[in-house]
Amino acid sequence: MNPSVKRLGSTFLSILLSLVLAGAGWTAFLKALDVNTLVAKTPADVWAYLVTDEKAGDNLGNVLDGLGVTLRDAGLGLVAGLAAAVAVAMAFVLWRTAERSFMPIAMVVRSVPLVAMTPVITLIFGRDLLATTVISGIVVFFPALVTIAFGLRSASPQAADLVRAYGGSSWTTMRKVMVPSALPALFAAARIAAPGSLIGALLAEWLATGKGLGYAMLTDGSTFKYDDLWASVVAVTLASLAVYALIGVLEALVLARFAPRDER
Amino acid sequence: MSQLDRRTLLRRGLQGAGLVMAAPLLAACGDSDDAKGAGGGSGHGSLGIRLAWIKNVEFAGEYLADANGHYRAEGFSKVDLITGGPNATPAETDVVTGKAFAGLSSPDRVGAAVLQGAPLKIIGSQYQKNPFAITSMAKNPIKTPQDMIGKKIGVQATNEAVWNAFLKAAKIDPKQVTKVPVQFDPLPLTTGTVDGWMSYVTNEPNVLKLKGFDTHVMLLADNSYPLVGESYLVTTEAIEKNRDKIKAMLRAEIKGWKDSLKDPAAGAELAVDTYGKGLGLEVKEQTLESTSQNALILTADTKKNGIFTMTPELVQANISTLKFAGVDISAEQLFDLSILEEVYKEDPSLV
Repeated sequence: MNPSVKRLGSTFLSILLSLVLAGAGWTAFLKALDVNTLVAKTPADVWAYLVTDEKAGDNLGNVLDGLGVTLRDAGLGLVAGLAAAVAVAMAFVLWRTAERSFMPIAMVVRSVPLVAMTPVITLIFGRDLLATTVISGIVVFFPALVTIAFGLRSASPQAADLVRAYGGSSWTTMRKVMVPSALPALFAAARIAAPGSLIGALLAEWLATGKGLGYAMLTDGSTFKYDDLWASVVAVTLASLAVYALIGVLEALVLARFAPRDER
Repeated sequence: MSQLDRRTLLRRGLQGAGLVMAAPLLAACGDSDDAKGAGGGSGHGSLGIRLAWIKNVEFAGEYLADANGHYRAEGFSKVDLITGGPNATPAETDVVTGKAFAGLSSPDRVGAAVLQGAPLKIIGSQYQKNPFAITSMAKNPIKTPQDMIGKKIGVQATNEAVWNAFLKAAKIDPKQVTKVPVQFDPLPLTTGTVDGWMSYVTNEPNVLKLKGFDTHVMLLADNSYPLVGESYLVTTEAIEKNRDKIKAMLRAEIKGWKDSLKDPAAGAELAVDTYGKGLGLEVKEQTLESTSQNALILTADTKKNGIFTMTPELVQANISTLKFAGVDISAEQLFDLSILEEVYKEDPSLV
């Protein structure tokens, strides 16, 4: 069978499985803990709210509007965070001192809780798209940096020696040897980062912009629209699964071209 | 040898994991017992009250009732004053889910919750006039609701229900005003990040005044939004089954708040040094706040009928305001003032 088709198939199978597991876990959890029905909504309640109620059309529209904003915020954050991580990881591998001087700063950015850092970020970057991109990018950046730097270093030393023996610069080694062999790591990083970027975007919307699902979920809580809250959680979860799958598809296509020896 | 070690390790590990998993369950059992008032032989057991805001002087009466032993005298073994804040779960939710026996909130929020199916009722109100206000800087004042159009207003998530209802009552299209999510420190107002700030008239204006900022305050109550504030809410189940416990709580609350009316500084000191320690409160500002809130509690009607009472006219005015604001609810659905009436009838000296 064509290996990329195989990869696609297994990706979709895993999504289906996680959906079933999440739904069952959700229902069982509510049943076991006997949570008050004002707050706790079951998958059936969410289905009714989004699909079968009289106002289901409006409800669905609202949730999708919010989701659109959140996906835009998260997408920009994901791209920006990954791009920054790739650039910095390359710098780390090319210049040892860069790692020693920059890594502590990256650690600080990651270890201070974002909730505490957000007010400062909004003071510097405002309360618009730039702020959400920065916040969601920070969530993405650090784990991606570590994974990608590891990927770059795991390149075959023989191949690197070959390039050097033919007079190639370290930049050529980077381009011809290290980057291609870091591609699996890059995609692993993107997969980890995708749900993270959504969390970052939701947080930014909650604390800074007041738009998108992040803020809608917060106001739902304080205006007792728990149906909408749960529906939004479902929307975000599905979206994050979809983005994860999309990266899987992209990965399958790219790796089939650049790293066929991984197939086996 | 090494195998034995591994086995012991495994067993220890499992025991540890079991403990970790059991701890929240045990704690949860304890909580629900407390909330239902099933605690030991000391009368009513422990009492959980969910406050409407962070632990500042806004709850002076509760601090004094605790510090001066009024709760204990009414048969409560312990009082849990549960803090609120700009991003806290609504008090309504905490009361419905049994995290607290009673809560403090405002009729618009309780009304919204009741319409969503929450079995709650208001049994009395501390503030006769709703203290919500839009604070703005004096050089860029917001004097009428119309002034907000095209401007940025800082709104805390917890006040979202009030904000929406106010816009509806004042007939302002939410799209014409930019709402900015904020926390409780009104700093963004002074830096010009926002033009207006959803506040308690007792709170932010006093904080800013002491920092040397000139502000303008627009009371929602004076602009098509007259409501009571700091209302006590309990579940309808508690009204049916725990009437005595509610009465005991109200008596303790009345005594505590009368202490605060007599001496506004006492509650301020308790807020700064004990209950709200670590919030960075200042006695001077908190005393100012305490004094302005006493003016909201003590009116001609409450002087005559007792604090927390609401006249039938006031109840009606609240219901019609709520209707304007899109919260279509009847007085019977939202209020049950009979318990408070009984308390004052049984002990007229409390008035």
